[in-house]
Amino acid sequence: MPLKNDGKIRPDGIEKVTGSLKYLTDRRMEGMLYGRVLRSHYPHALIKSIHTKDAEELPGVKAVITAADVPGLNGFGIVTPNQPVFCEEKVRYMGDAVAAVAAVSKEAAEEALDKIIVEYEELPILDTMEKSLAKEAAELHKEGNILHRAEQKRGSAEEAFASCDVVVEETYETPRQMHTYMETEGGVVVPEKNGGITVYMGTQHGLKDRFQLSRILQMEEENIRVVSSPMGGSFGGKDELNVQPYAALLALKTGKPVHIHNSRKESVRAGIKRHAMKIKMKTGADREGKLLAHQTYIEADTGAYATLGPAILEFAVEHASGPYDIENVHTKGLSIYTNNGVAGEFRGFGGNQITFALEGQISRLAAALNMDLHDFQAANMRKNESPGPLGHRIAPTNGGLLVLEAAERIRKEKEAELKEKQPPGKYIKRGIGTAVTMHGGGLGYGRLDPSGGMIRLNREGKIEGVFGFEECGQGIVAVIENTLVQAFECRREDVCFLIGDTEKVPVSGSTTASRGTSMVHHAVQRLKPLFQQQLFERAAALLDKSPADFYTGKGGLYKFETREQAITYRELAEAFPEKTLEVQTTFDFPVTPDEIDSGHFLYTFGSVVVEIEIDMRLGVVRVIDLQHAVAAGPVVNPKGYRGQVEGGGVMSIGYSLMENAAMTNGQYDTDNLDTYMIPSIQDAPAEMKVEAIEDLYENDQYGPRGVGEIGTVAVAPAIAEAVFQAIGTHITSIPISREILMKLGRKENRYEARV
Amino acid sequence: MAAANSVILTPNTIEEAWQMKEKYGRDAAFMMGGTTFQLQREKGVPLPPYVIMLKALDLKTLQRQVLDGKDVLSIGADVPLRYCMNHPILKAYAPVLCRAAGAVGSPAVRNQGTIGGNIGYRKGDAAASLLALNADVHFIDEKGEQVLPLDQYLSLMQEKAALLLAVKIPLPAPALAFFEKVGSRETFSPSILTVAASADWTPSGRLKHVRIAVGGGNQTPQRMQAVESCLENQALTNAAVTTACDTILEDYAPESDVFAGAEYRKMAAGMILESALETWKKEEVSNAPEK
Repeated sequence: MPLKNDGKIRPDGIEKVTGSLKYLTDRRMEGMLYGRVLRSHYPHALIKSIHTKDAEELPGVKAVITAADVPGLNGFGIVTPNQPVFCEEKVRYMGDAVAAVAAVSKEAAEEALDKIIVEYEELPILDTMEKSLAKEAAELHKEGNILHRAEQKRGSAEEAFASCDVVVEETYETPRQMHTYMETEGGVVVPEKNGGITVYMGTQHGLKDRFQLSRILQMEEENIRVVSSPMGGSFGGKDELNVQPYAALLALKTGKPVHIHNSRKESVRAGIKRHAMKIKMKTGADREGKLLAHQTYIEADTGAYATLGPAILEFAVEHASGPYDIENVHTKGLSIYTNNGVAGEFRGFGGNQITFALEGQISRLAAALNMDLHDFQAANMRKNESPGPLGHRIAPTNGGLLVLEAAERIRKEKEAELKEKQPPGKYIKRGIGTAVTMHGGGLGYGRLDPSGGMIRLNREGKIEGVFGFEECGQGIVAVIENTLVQAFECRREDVCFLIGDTEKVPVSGSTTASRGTSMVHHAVQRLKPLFQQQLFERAAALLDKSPADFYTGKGGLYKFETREQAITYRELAEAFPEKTLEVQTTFDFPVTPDEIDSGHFLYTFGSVVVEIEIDMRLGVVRVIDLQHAVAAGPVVNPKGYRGQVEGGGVMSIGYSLMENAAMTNGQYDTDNLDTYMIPSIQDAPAEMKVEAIEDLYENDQYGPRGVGEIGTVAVAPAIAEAVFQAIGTHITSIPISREILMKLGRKENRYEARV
Repeated sequence: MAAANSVILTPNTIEEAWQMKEKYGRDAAFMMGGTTFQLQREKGVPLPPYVIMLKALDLKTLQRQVLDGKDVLSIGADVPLRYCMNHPILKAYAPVLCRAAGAVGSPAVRNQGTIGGNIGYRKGDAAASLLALNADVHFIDEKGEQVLPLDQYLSLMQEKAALLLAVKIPLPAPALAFFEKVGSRETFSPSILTVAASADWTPSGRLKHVRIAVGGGNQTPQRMQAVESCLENQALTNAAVTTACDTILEDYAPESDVFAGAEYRKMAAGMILESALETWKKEEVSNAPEK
């Protein structure tokens, strides 16, 4: 059954819809200065000199800073801090920072940027992976031009191809995609009296920003407070540091609050993007349709610096064989430095690229074997207790088969509907396509992945959930609210939440990797008995009863005996004004017991059914219907679940049909939203359905999984399959080229019309 | 930034507006809804030192009138595109213009943007449909008030300044009319290609008064005269359609940009023309008894 609207309004809903919500970039403070960052003039050059004197002397300019003003480490990067805060000797991409200014107005700051004179000596631009890999290529970093290599080998794919009856080989290409959050990077940094700072800027992991800033500023972490929610979108794009270091350094230098807010153009130029990948796959099966061998070679354009490039490559390598049981797998991947924009974290995390390629192979093999795609997928789908895609142990699950069957049912319904529809016009071709995927949650084996949370009875008598998660629009606040209401069987007005402030929240880990919902659930399950016990003990002391006499409910505690309310939460809070009732827990995201780097343990499954129409005159693909089936355990917040999956789906319609942050000579071809196109409301299907498969496999103790990413992963291959169903041609790259489709259309129409 | 350095002038009469332009020359630009200026500002193009805002001039009239004995639809330069999209008179007499106006930008752009601005912009979607509708424009320049066919006005504008006052569409409008825009997405997109066409039937079922205009990308919409002449006085046979489509491939010389290659634009223009002519052919069949 498709998810229905539960009629509940998310806690931040009204403020967002009415526009009254104040974001961190909306903050203005007395005496506040405006900061701007001078970015590189060239994609690759040596810096010969930087002259800031003219800029410093401009009226209204309060500070001009360069690398010399960085007291600590002049670098950032969540894992490898190899991106300079300010470049000193060399610039490696157009977004590289060279200097920054703070001034009394935006105009003065802007003018000051023009007065900073930087002398460069241009170097050859490595704007393709081929150029970076060439023997004569200059080395962009000490370690060379390869950021990371990853490999996975099971059985012997090379030998197994000999026994395959059918082998298909193809090279797939996927574009650099921009997150395109509505709120670009920024906020305010305030210098505090104790010498520390408060950073009001969006991020997906406040405590990680605090750590990185302490390293740059050479300041104790305790002196840095990061307030990081709410955000107007992130999708992975604000996981890494962006303008925080500049505002922090300028605030410390001037002793004033400093506001920086990237323009859209600056956001495009400096911000990270989804990795463009080139994926070569060779896959073989026997006559009966059993997959025997699968070989993959991935090249990922990671741009100028590391950020999470290695982890994304490893994720792609892990998911190269997806939800299928294949005995012989060999996957190799390279993450390659170039002078292009930095690629990094983005919803789907390498899964989207690899799934486009993998499902393309599955479709080609099914066609070559003359088998129905669904039957071929089903024959090779992982069994409930099959090992994970790295051959490691994972939480047993039947999610793959469940979403596959749901997709097949929906596809058949749609096929019947299409037969009833008016035949399309002469130039229109219709197709239905499906694709399936599995997606790991959490950071993976071998990576610190702690989580936790706190529940307290606050002074107002509300049950307060306190987490180190961030609200970036995904709806974590509704998840916290719903989880507490369900756990204590109370009213919505009995609960509240506190997030996004490093001074006030415990360690919950990053708000990434589809982990938030799952971790809130785990924390509340651990804390519930502890918290209830303390509530009951207080009530028992006040009312002269035994703690075992009570249960929690709407508005307060109830007595088992009479089913009547014994005391309200507020009364319980007011009775002990000095003694806060508070319980806290820490734990790690569940991981595989097998020592296998980056291997995941909890997986979500998704399938997509898409109906398209192709205007063959123009090669334009229109998505008429997009339906998802997702197996991610119980739904915590129906509206949020649907919003995440549908929103992810539309984001991937963009990825499949129009989005491409293409670069020429190290510069973005599309530098603003007047040229970088994302889907408009009219590009999205009028109605989308999301089917939530809530049943977990027998004895699964891990509760709900996150759905932040799964809705994005299998859309592109489903659209590619629909194109194949419509016109019999397999496409190899996205966004799907209109020109290629149109040329096919021309041939056919000429034939039909004139022979 | 740029706005702070520009002087905004707000003339109350057409004459005053024209005198301001004459006084400041290239340092001044006319502004209607300002949507084009906003687009350019985002691209880093500064506003000129003087901006002559035309909002106070009364150029908002949309009416059917008889002018020198000719029946015309007159649309004031300051009529917002949203009106053109929905106005009952236009819907009745020039529905292709409604379609073209509705294809411009987003609802906010159409509220703010005007028909005059869309023509003055020289890349607007409306201009192609007006070329097909054989529109004249009423404007003022150094020689005073004048009326000229739109295509002549568009080339004149390349050379020197002019202030557009109104667009005049002759009535009755052609029996056959067509407009299609290809963007990068379904709405709110710069046009990759805009094709507009119109014609009438002769009593014997041939085309006459064929007008075909193509625009899109960075190019000003232009008439495809070679294509028009190969369809003029022709019945819509398969051979005629093929010849016309082959001619547009030769005649139309688009440029490549980030949205689409020249080759794509060329082929798409051919395909759109083909499908437009097929629609006309169907109309001919369904209207056959009337002839």
